Amino acid sequence: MEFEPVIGIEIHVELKTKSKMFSSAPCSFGEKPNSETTYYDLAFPGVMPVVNKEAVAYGIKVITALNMTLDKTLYFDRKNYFYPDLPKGYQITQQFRPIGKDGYVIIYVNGEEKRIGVEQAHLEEDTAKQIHLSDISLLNFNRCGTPLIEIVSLPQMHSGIEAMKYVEAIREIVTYLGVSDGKMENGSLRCDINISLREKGTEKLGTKCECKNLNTIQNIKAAVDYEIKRQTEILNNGGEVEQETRRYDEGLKKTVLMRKKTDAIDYKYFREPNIVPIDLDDGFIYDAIHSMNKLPNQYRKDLRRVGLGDYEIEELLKDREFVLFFVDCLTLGVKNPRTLWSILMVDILGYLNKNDLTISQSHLKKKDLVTLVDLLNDKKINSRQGKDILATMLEEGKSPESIIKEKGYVQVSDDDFINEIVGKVLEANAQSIADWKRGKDRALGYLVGQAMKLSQGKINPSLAKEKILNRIGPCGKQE
Amino acid sequence: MTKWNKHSISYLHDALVKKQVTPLELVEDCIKGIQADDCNSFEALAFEEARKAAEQIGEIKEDEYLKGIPFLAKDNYSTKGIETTASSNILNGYVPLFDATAISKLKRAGMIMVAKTTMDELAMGGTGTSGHKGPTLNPYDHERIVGGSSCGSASSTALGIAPLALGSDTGDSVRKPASYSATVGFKPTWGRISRFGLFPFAPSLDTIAYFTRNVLDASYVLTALAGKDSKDMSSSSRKKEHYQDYVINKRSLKKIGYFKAVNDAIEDERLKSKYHELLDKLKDHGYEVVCYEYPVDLLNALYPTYMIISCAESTSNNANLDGIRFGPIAEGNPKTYEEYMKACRTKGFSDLIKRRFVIGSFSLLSQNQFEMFSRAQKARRLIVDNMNKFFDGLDYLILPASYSKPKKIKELSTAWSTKPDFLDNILGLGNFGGFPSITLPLMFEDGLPFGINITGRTFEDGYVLGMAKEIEEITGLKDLVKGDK
Amino acid sequence: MIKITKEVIEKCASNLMFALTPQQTDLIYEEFATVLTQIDFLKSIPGVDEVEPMTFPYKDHQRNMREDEPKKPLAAKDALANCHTKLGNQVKLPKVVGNQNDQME
Repeated sequence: MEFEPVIGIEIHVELKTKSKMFSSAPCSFGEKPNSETTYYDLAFPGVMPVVNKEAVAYGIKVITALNMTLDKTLYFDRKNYFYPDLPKGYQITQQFRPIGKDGYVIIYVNGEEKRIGVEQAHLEEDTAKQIHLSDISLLNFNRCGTPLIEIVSLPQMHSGIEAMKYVEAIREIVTYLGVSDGKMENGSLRCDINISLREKGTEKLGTKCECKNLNTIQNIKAAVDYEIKRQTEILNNGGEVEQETRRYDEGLKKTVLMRKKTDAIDYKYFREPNIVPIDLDDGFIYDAIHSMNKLPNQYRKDLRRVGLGDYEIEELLKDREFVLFFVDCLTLGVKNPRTLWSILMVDILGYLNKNDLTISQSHLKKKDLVTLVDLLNDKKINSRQGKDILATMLEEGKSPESIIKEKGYVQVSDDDFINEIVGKVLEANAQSIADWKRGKDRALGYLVGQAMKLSQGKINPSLAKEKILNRIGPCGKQE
Repeated sequence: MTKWNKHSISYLHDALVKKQVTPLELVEDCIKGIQADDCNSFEALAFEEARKAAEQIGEIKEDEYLKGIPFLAKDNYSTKGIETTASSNILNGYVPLFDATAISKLKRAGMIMVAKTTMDELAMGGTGTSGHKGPTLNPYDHERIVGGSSCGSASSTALGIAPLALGSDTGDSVRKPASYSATVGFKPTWGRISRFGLFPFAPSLDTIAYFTRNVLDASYVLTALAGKDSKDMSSSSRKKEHYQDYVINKRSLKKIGYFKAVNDAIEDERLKSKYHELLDKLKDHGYEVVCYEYPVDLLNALYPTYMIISCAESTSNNANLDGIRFGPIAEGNPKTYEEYMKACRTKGFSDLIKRRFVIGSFSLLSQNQFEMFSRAQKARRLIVDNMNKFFDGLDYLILPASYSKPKKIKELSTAWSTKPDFLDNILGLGNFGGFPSITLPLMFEDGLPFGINITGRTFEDGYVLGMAKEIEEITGLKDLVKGDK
Repeated sequence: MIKITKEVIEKCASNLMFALTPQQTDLIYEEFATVLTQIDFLKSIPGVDEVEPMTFPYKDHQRNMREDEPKKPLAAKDALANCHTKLGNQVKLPKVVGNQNDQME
C-alpha cells in the first residue's frame, strides 16, 4: 500500500523584547540562576499580568509577515496544569482568540514554490528552566515569562524536506524581522512536529505522533524521514500507529518514545480574568507594520532579478547582515553582482570567520568594495591583485585606490603595455610556440606565466592570455 | 474598649490636627484593643512596624484626612515583611516581599497598619469560621457568626479597634458581615481600586472593599484608594474623584427601586416594616421609590452562578500554592514532583476548599465546560443585563443586606446548599456587574444588627455614597461600636 | 458531560495535586447531585444560551499596555527567601522525570 505522510508543525518562538511578556523583569539569558525575576514570575499570591506592548508589536509583525488576519482586540486565556516549571499553575496564552489567524508561508522545495498554510499564531509566556541531576531537579526561573509566539501550521507538509524548509522559512522570517534570535540550538525557536500517514488518495488523517527535541534544522528532516519510515513499516506489517510523543535522539539518529498519549491532559482553558480586552490602536498597528524589516522572500525576488542563481541567493540569505550589505552595494551601482557575491561570500566571509568578526565589526566599507568589484570587472586589476587589495582593505580599512597607488598596480590593462610584454615573451620562447603548434597545450600556461613574471604580476592574466592566443593561433595547428 | 479608635476617621483626624493625640498614642490604643479582642479577629500582628511608622509621622495638615490613623487589613492583602496566610495552612510562614497597591496607597496617605485580620480560608466562605485559626465570633453574640469571608475585619471594626479595616468582596464578603456587625461595608466599582497584591479568589468578581463606621469615612478612604494602577490592567483609567464631596454635600440621584420578589420573600416582620419605614422616609425626602419586577428565575440563578464561576476561577488562582517557591515544605520525603505538590496541598488545604476545588475544576473540563462554567457565565450575563435594564430607569437598588439574624456557629453546614434562598445571595448582584454597593446599619433586633444595602451604576461610587449618607441621617445609626455607651 | 463517579472525583483531585479521604469523596459525590440539579436549572432559564458567556463585569476595553522597559529584578536571595527547598540559588525538587518543555504543547 502506498502512504502519504501528513505533517503539521507548531513552532514556539521566543521574542527578544527587553522585558518579559507580563512582567517587568529583564529578559536576558546566561545570568545567574534566579536573578532575573520579579514577583510575577515566581507567582507570589496577588501578582497580576501586565501585557508588554513591544511583544504585541512583534506579534503584529510576525502575523503580517505570515499573511495572517490580525485580531484587533487582544484576549488572553489560561491553560491550567501543574508542573514545576510553571509557577502559577497556569500559562497565560491565547486559546480562543489568537492574535493572528489564517495565513501562509511560501517555501521553495527543489526549485518549486509551495504554499504552506498557517492556522494561527498566539502570544504566550515561557516556562522556567529545569536542570536534571542524578536524583534531584533544579529550577531556575530566569526564563519564566519570556514572551513567546506560537505559530501553528496546517497539516500541509508531506516530506522531511518540506518540514525542514517550512521551519527554515519561519526562522528566516523571525530573524529578518528582528523579533527573535531564532536559535534552535539554544531553544529560542522550538518545534513540535506532528506526523501521520494516510493511504494515498484518501482524506482521513491517520494516528499522529508528536516529535520533540529537534534542535537543529537538519534534525527536522532526519526525524521526519525516520518517523515516516517507522510508521510505514508498522502499517505495512499490519500494525497500528499509536498516538505518542517521541523525541529525536541525535546519537541514535532515531525518534524514541517519550510517553504514550493514552491520558491526554485536560487544560481547562478559560479566559484570563485579570486582563480586560485590549483594543489595539490603529496607529500602533500601523507603526508596527510600517517598521517591519524586508522579508527573505522579497529579497529572493530582488536578487533573482539582478542575476543571482538559487544557490547564491540561499547562501546570501543565511545572514541578514550580508544581504543588507549586498543590497546596499547594488544600490551603490556595482557593475557585476555575481563578482560581488563571490568576493563577499568567499573571500570576505572566509576572513570574517577566521577572525571571528561580523561584517559590521570589520573595516570594510561598501563604497570600497564596489570600487574593487568594478576594477575587477573592468579588468583594471587581476584577481591576484584583487585579493591583495581586499586583504589590505579588510585589515586597514583603506580604499582600493590608495592601495593601488601604494602598490603600483597601475595601468594594468593598458593594451600597449600588455602587447609589449607579450611581444617580448614570444620572442624569447620560440620553443614553446613550436610545442604549442605541435599540440602541447601546456605551453600556453607557461607563456602566460612568463608574461606575468616579466610584468611583475601587474598585467591582467586573462588579457595576456587573450593576446598570446591571438598571436600564436589555435593549439596543434601547423601553419 | 479603646479610648480613641472607637471614633471615626474624621474624629481622629480632628484630634490629630488639634494635637490632642499623637499617631503613636493612636497605635498604642489600637494595640490595646487588639490585645483585648475576644472574637478571634487577628492573624499576624505588626505592632513594632506600626510604632516605628507612627514615630515617623510629622505634622498633619487639615487636608491629610487619613494621616496618622491606624488601620487593619484582611489577611489576603500582600504585606511586605508581615506574614500573610489568607488564613490557610498552605501559606503558613509566607512573608511577602511587596505591599498590595491598596496597602501602599493607605501607607502613602499616612495610615498605619497595625495587624492582619482573620478570614475564611482563601476567602472562600461566607461564615468566617473556616480559617486556620478557627471561627471568628460576632461581637454582638459570641455564639453567632459575624459573617465572612472578611470576618476579622468586620469584628474588629465593630469592636472599635480601628476606624478602618480592609476586606475583600467577591460575593458579599464585606457587605454581609457589615450587616451582621452594624458597620459600614463598602464595595466600590470593580476596577475602581487596583487589586494588585490582593490574593485572588475569583478575579472577575473580587473587589477591594472595606469596613468603616460611617459613610463619610468610607468616602475618604475611596478617595485615597481609587485610581489606575500600572500593575493591574483591570484597574480603570477613569478619572478619580473627591468622593467625600458627595457625602458632605449629600449629592445623590433621585430614583430608588426595590425588588418585588425580595420584598415578598422577607419573613422577618420587624425587618420588613423597618425596611418600608425607611422607603417611606426616603419618599418624604423627595426620592421616587419604585417597586421593580426583576426576573425571579435570575434571582434563583444567583447561587449556582456564583458558586460555579467562583469555584472554577479559584482552582486556577490557587494553583500557585504548591509549596515549591513559598509555603510550608512537603513532609514525608516525596520522590517525585507530584508527590511533593500533593503532600503540600493535601496537608495545606482544608476539607471544604478541596471539595470546592474539585467541583470548580470539574466544571472547567473541556467536556463539561459548555454545560457548567460557560452556562454559569451566560447566566451571569443575563443577570447583569437585567440589572442594567433596571439601571436604565432607576438610580439605586435598595435591599436589606441580611434577612435573618446571623447564624449560630454550631448550626452551620459547609455543604453545597441544596435549597439556596436567593435572599442569602442577593448581594452577589453587585459583584456580577461590578456595581458599587454599600451596606450600613438599619436596625437591631434582639440586640443583633441588620444592615441596609444600596447598589448603584458602575463608577457612580460617589452617588452611592451620597445616597448612603442620606440613609445614615434617616436611621441615625452611625459610629456604632459594640459595648460603647 | 462526564458522568460523575467516585473515580472521576478522585482523578479530578489528583489532577489538582491533592488527595481525598474516602469520606471527602463521598461528600463531594453527594454534593454533585445538588450541583447537577442547579446546572439543569440554569439551563432551563429562558434565553440563557442566546447570550455570550460573560467574563468581565462590564465592557471597558483598555488601550494601554506596558512599555517594554525592564525594571530591576529581585536578587536571587530575595526571590527565594520564602523557599524552603533550595540548593544554592536554585529551587530543589525530587527529580522531575521527563524532558523540559514536556508540557508545552
